[in-house]
Order: sequence, then structure tokens, then C-alpha cells
Amino acid sequence: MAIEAQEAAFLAFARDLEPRLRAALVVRFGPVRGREAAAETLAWAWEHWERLERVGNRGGYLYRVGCRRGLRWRWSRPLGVVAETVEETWVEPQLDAALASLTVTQRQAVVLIEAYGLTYAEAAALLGVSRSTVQVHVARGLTRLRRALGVVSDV
Amino acid sequence: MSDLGERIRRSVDEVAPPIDLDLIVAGRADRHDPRSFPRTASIAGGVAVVVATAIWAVAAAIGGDAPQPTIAPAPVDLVPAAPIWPASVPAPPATRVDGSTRLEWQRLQLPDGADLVVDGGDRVLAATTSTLQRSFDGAEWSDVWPDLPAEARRIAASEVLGLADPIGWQDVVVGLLAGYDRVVRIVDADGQVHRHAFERPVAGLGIGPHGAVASAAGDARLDDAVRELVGPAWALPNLRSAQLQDGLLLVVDQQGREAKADLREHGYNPRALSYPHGWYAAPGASWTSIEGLLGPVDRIVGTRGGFFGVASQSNRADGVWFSPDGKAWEHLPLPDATIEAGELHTKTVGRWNDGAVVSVRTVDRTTTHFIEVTPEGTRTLFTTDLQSRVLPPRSTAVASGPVGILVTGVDGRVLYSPTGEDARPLDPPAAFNMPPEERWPYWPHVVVTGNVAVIAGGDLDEDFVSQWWRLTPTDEP
Repeated sequence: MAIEAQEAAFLAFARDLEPRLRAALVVRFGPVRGREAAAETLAWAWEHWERLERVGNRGGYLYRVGCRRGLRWRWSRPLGVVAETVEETWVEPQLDAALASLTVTQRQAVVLIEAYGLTYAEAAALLGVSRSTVQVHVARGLTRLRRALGVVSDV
Repeated sequence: MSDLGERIRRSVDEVAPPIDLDLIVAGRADRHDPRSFPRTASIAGGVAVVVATAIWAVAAAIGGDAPQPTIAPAPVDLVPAAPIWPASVPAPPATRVDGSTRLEWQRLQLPDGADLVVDGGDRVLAATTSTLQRSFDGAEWSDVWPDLPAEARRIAASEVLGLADPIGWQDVVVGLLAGYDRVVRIVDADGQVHRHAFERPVAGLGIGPHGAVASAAGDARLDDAVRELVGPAWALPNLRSAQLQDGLLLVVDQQGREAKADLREHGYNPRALSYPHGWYAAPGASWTSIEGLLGPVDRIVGTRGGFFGVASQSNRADGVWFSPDGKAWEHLPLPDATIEAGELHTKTVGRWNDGAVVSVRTVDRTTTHFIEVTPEGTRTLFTTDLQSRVLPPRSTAVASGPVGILVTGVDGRVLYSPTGEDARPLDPPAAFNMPPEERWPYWPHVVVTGNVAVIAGGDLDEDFVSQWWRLTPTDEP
């Protein structure tokens, strides 16, 4: 495939994946570390695009790559460069605290479904879990989130 | 989207803004412009920093029309060997392993807070934020620096944690400072830190009883090739540009005159020319240059028999470089039978007894030869269709030690050879099973062999927490 066509195919794929991948990793690792992991993952994806094109569930695959990047993140740079406090500066402190009360999986499921509009099947494919697992996590997560925020109706 | 969802999305986008994909694609600009190859892209804080390391385009930075003289590297005196790490910890007793030995996988519990596991040759090292611990069996752990004050231990441990893919020998750890390709740190058995910044990127690091060795990049080989093929006046510093693509060399001098040469036709390996070949050794606290150019070696292991290095990035199997002391090096060719098997790539090297075991893969990836290398020469141990995973330069999918040779494959299979004479498939721990198409980035590294344990690590449980296992021979039938 010509490089221009490869580039176009990658950009189309990456533009679709980027928001949900970034969200899933930010929710898991925090804004700084999660975004960094997402950026590195997408750069890695472009580097390995020819190989990735043969992978079925590319989104889920790259999510796992991102998790690996996130886990390795603090080993990949000199210690002390990024203060831990930088990570937790959410726009709505109350929302941050409420989200923090959820488990990681609940948080990811809620954010992907509610904030980024993924279907249960899409979220399940991205996170590498079953559809029913996503449903359960969303239901429990939303219940806990609404309770924490004092939300009666979110419509 | 619900109001709650909208608030969450806005919050996420605010604290972690969308990533500029055009910058990511620009990080692979080498695909458009061969002069910029190779590049690595680092994306940080929304800003993409593209670092070009086109070592052969050196002339582009030289202004003026007058040819510049070739700059010869300054000679460096060798420093006599002075080991910085004593063999203070006695080696554990050897474990007898034969063909009838029963093997078991056992889940390991690393020390609390362990963030990093390092191959220490005959032991496992685990670094936490407060200390470095060692274990000979993966179960019992002891502090490497028990006499250091707590604060000094913490500082030394942070130095270890700050290394990218460190390697070790007994209680000494060496590695590149994470994020820097030229800064090497050695944390010795006393917790003392020795730092050195090389003038060129370091590609290969090895450590063993004789000290540590690093291979660093240089462009002298390409310079030699250009002057031999095009003419002595075409030394790299005299040129406006020099491009290397698909084995074709294109040089332009300051007057705009061009010259071309096909490197392969003249017997040169183009990749070997652009990969590291300068060598440095560290028998003592100070690093010293080694005279001579010894090949584009990027994987090195140190054993009691000496150092063994291979070029995993090379397009061909270049044999094995061997040095008994890290200073004088010789080239060991592959066994004839292996060479006759076809075009080959050398991919991994691991410790094996006092020598090394090297994996050499055919270009079509259907066959991998495992070759024993000793100071006396090389011989093929066994051949398999398993494709061993190729990992970053200081990691390996091939682990070897007194307990045997363990190889993890890209398809999830594990191959084990207790004696090196043959190999058998081994069922991996159930937790490592994944759909085949998802395995390859996560298949566990085989990181350590000690006298009583073979340990593999992975990130495969559903929470992506590293798992560590040991393969244990037992005396039971």
C-alpha cells in the first residue's frame, strides 16, 4: 500500500479511536499519565501500522498496549520530573472525587458509555471484557456516581 | 449523551486534551524522507519532539564551501582492570537437572512494592522505592544493602528504578538512564552509583563477572565505506549530505557533485554501517574505549567465560563477538550447518553455563536455531519452529542458566531444554493464555534464570498487573 494510503487509513482509524482510548487510559492512570500512554500508544500504532492492519480488534489491542505503557510510565523517565500532584487536577473536583469512588473498571465503563457514547459491545471490545460485564459495571458505577453527586436525574 | 456524561467528557478533555495525530504521523516522516531515517518520536505534554539521528547526514550541519578535514577520534588510554564489585555473596548450590526432572510453575510473590525485576545472573533482583532485594529462588528475599542507612538505600533504589531495562550481575545493576540514550549508570553492590555520559548513543550493554561493556554508535564505518567506494576526498565531514536507502549510497559534496554506490554490490552490509560499533568497557569505575571496530553489536551478556555479543538489528547473522575480558574481542562464526540452513538473523543472546546461547532465526521466520557459544567456538544445540519473541535490546525471550534454557514464543508456546541437547514444549501457566492474535505484545519476558529457578513475567491478568512465576524442578517422579 502506498504511504499516502497507509497514512490516510491510519488517521481515519486513529481519529475514531483516540477519544475513547485517551478516556479509558486517563480514567485508569490519571490525566497526565493516561494521556501520555495514549499518545505513546498511537505513535506505536503508527509505527506498527502494517502489522496492526491484520489484527481484528485493534482498539482492544491498543488499549492493552496503552495499559502496558501506563504501567511502565514512571520507569520510562527520570524520577521526580512530574510531581504526583500534577496528575489530579480535574476541572470539577467534586466530579473527580465521585469518579474516584468507583472501581477502575466501573469508571472506565461509565466514562466510555456515558461520556463517549460507546455501545456496550464497543466498550467491551475495547476493554477486553464481556458485554454483560460492561453492563454490570455501568449500572453499579452510575448508581454510585449519582449517589456521590447527589444527582436525581441525569437527563 | 446525558448531562452527567457531558460533564465527564468535558472534564476529561479539559485535563487531557485530544492528541494531535498529525504530529504522530509526522514522527514517521522518515518514510517520506530517507535522509531523516532513523527517527524516534517522543510525545510529551501535547508537544511532539522528533529527534533525528541521521548520523550519516553530518555534513549538512557544516557551513561554508571549503571542504573540511576529516576529524580522527582522539585515542583513549586503557585503564587497568579494577573490579568494583566483590563476589561478596556466595553462589547458591547448584541444582542437578536431567531429563527426568519434574518441573512445576509456581506463582511468585515479589517483595512488597517491587516495581522492577532485574536479571542478576545467578539471582533475581527486585527494586522497590526503598531498597533493592535479591533472591536465589524467587521466594526468599534479602536486602542487598542491609548496612546502608535508610535514606541512602532509598536513593540507591531510586537510581535503579530510574533505569530503562536494566541488567545485572549478582548485586550490581547497570542500565541506561530512562529517557536518555547516552547516560549509563552502574549501581554497585554497595549501593554506590557510578554515572557516565557517552558521546554517542549506547546500543548494547552487558555485565558479568569481568565488568560491564557498552557498545556506542559511531559513523566511522560509513566514512570508511564512502572513502573507499567514492574516493578519499569524499570523507563525510567534507560532504553536503550523505543518504543511505535500500543499500544505495548517495553523497553530495559541497560543490553539488553527486556520487552513487550500491553498498551490497561491494560487500558492505548497509545496516551494519549505520548501527553502533564503537565499544567501551568498564572493568573499573571509569569507562575506557576499546580499540578497533567490532561490529554492530546491540545485545551483550557477561558470564564467567567472558562477554558474548550479537547484532540483533542486523539484516544477516553476523556470528558472535566474544571477549574474555571485555577489552580484546574476536569474532566467532556460526556453525556451518546453521549457515547452510539459509539466510539468517541473530536475535537473542543469553547466559548459558560459562558461555552463551544464541538464537538465530531464518529470514522467513520458520526456523530458529539455538547455538551454544563458548570461547572454543559455536555449536548448534537444537532447532525449532518456535518464533522467539524479539524484545528491546536489554530484554530477552530466551532465558538460560543451570536449570536449563527456556524460550517463549510469539504464539504462546514455551520451549524448555534442561540440558541444551534437546528441547521440549512446556505448558505455560494458565494465566498467560490469551487469544493468539492478542498475545504478542504481552507474552511474558523470560527475565531471569538462577541456579534453582527460571522466572517469567507478564502483564496478562485482567488487571494487567505483572505476574511472576518460577519454573521449578522437583525431585518427585
